[in-house]
Amino acid sequence: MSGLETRYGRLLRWYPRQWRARNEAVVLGMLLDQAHDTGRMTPSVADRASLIVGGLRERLKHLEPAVVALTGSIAFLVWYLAIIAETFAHPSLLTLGLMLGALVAVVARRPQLARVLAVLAALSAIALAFSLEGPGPSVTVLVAGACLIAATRGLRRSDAIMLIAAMVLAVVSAESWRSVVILWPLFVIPHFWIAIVIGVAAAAGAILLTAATAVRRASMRGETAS
Amino acid sequence: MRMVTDMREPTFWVLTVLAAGRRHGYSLMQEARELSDGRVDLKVATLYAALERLGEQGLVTADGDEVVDGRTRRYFRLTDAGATALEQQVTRIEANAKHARARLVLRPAGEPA
Repeated sequence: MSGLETRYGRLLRWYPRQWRARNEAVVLGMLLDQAHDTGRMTPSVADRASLIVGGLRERLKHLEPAVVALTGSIAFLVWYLAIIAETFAHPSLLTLGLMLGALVAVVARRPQLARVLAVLAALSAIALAFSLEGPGPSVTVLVAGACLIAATRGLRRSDAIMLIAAMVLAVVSAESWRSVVILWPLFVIPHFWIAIVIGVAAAAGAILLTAATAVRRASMRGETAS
Repeated sequence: MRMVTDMREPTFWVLTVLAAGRRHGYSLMQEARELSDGRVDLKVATLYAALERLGEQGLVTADGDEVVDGRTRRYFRLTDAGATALEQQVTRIEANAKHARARLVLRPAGEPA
């Protein structure tokens, strides 16, 4: 029995330490009750899998999506500056600084400040995308996406949708503009037309979404007034 | 009061078992399996996670630990909010069943099976 207990104990190490302090003995008790009842000598595959999945889920539960997104994209941007741009004297350093500020604000539980810094970081990345010297579309999309996750945290859904729509529109416009500048002499390449079509569609979608939100809010105000 | 919009089957059976009184984790698992004719065969980790979630929602609460044969058993019981949630779910199931029965009676004879 003690061998089985050791094996269950090892599986329970997938759970975070704090969780184990409160619950390990109880879950171990349930597993041993079950083994006692069914005569199992080894943990079943299903139990093993569910303990591993449960432990990982418990570890991920307390991670803020904004922290994960910002940390990941900050690491990516540092890697980009060090390896691809090969210099930190690069305009993207501003974006990096703003993202670090947003991350600190999230951790320090200052959501308003985090939102402002995240939006500024996204805008700085998008502004750079308009120039040919800025990082490529993958960097812009990743940075703007991570900043959006941090910026929309705790916002009302309608406001979050507007912010996301505006950002998508800005990113697509910047990338379309860059495609136009780069590909102007070669505008027969389908690339160019695809970028323009996506840009126009995104702009139309964002405008429609924003208008729909405004109309819905106006009608909601009307209802509360009546 | 939180409106229960939909209750998944494991939640339903956990609340149903606890409606009859406090239970410890493993006996809860066994009873849920028996009552559901073996359809709800939860793993220990899954059931415990469900109990923690229901605890956070205020539907069940821990009701003391006991040590039997060196094994720790945590007891759980239904809260008033949990009883109300189960009551609402039962009312919904009864209403659905009533409609289904009434419609089955109306089914025209001779329709292909």
